[in-house]
Amino acid sequence: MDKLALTLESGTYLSGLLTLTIPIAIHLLSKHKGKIVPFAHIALITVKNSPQLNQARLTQWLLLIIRLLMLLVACGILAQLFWNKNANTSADIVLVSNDWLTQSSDAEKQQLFESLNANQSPRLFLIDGLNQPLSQRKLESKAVLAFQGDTSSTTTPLNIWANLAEITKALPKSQKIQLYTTNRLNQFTGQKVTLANPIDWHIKFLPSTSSEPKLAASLAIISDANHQQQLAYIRGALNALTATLPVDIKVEYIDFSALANDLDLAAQQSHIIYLVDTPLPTELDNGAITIINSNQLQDYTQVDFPLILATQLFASQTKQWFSDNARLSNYQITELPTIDLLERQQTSVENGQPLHIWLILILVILFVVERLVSEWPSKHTAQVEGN
Amino acid sequence: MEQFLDPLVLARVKDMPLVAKTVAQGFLHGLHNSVKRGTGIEFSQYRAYEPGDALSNIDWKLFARSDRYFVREAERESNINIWLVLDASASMLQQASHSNEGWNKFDYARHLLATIAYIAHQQGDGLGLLGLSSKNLHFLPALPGKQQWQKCLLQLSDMQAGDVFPDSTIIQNHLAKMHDNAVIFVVSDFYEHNNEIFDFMTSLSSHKTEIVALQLESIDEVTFPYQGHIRFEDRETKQQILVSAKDVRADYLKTREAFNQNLSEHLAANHIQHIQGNIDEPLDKTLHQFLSARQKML
Repeated sequence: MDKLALTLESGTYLSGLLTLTIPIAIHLLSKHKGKIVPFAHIALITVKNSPQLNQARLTQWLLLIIRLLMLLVACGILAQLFWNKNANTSADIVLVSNDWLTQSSDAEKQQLFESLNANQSPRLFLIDGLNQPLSQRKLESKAVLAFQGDTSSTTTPLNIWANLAEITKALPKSQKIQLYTTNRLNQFTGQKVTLANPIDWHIKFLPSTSSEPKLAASLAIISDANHQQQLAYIRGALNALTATLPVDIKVEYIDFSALANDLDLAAQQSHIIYLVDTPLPTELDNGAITIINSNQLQDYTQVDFPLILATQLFASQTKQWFSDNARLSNYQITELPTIDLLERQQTSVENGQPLHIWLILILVILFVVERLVSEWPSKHTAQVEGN
Repeated sequence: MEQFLDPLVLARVKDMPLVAKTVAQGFLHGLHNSVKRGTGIEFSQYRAYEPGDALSNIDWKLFARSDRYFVREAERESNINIWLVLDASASMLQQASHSNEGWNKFDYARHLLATIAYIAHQQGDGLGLLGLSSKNLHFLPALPGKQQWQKCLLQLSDMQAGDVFPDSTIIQNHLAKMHDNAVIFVVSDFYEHNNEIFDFMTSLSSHKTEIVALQLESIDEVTFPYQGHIRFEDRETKQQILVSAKDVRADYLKTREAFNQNLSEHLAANHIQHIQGNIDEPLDKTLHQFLSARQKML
């Protein structure tokens, strides 16, 4: 896959190639070919195909070619031509997200499959593979049809943009990328990243669900004698919450002294409110359960304590719900910060070997040759003896 | 005759009659022609009879009065028409490449003919003019007199060179008038495309006319001094050829020599005097050549 290829950094300078028409036009119009001398009767002059004349014609062609090459090289210098070592710009890279595979219909998969087959050897990769080199994320185009999406990880550690940036680091700047993704928010949480490659966005718009989330929590409150007052407030707050909000809260009250017996019961809950001064037993502190300790509920005497408690209990759930169900607009996904020229130059130096020095050297050599070739016949061009 | 007038000096003199007179007077300088006597109307003198004089010339009335034989003489009257024929095709615009202010062939020919016209006028000969170009045909019938000379000069100054030598059919009706006891001076470069000048010369010659043909050349045509790659353009056909001058020079000179040879032979066959004149040489030198050639014929 690694090939050497010439890549352009600033394609706009290629419009300079239009200047190639100038020497061609001059060559065609000038007729080069000697001064016009009016003569009384040219029937007396027999036309001869002399070697000198052929030489002059050859020189003219040579000059034309050299001048064209000079302009070409100059354009190359302006366009920042460089060797790219890992370029395979002929084929597109197709990236597809897990979520797209999960959400897309069979018809859409079929369409992707057909476009993959129609394309000249495009390469298909899964975009959400974390810390894997690109080659390990490769998918066969047939796999698209069978693939149902990897539903095990609902939130990706890196958003789509960051994944893209990670992948394009190893790619040439002109490599075209086709990206299939959905507009679900959880794929785009976090910072936008600047991307140099041209990206073809294929965004599947998921319908947004309008129903409210049903909040549920199973709660174990572990307390000791020192925190009875706080416990009473919490109990009251929970009662108030169940009475006013559409929440489903199951509460188990466990006394700290009986904790050893009820350890299994506590471990089954989603939240534990721990109102004890001694540290939490390690069996419960395994990360799966959200622990709320007494310090977090210091303000139990406040009027809005039920709200504080609700936030502690349901914040992560609402966040999860939001990131699953909120949708981004096309503009929000595809509009990325532009990169300035300086940054691009730096990246090009990292990715490829610049040819500036060589091109300038070639230009100088061409210039010298052009001077020599164009000056050489002028020694023989005196029109008339003694003039 | 040693001190010729520099053509460049003459070229700067825009007054054609002045040039003609200056050159002609230089040419005639020192010639004191005795009065030509012969048969005519205007009386000149009596002279004593000498054996061999025709008896019809003796003035018998005078013999009756003086008892001597006298012969009555009159001033000779010229009955010769001088025809000036000028080729006004575009090729006559050729001039030497090194001089931009000098005369081209056409100017040179005009001044030469003006000078001849002046001399002819001085001699009392009739003067006619024919300017030949397919664009513009100038024709002036032969008549003697000063007015005719002035008309002739006017025509010569008005004449413009351009286009090609006209077809002989166009000139045909003018030619009939020229066959009558005439001396015809033809000035041309004799470059033709379809034998039109040869045809014209052939139709011009008859036993009553003497023809002197002056072939004008420029120094460039004679020596072909060009170098390098040159695109030659024909002045008449505008055809262009690209050649290396050095390579074609030898062939050109050879072809030119053959062309001159052919021209000479053709003219000789028609009893036409052929003279070559170089436009970079003084006008009076050519004139001298020209007129002495005419005298040779007589």
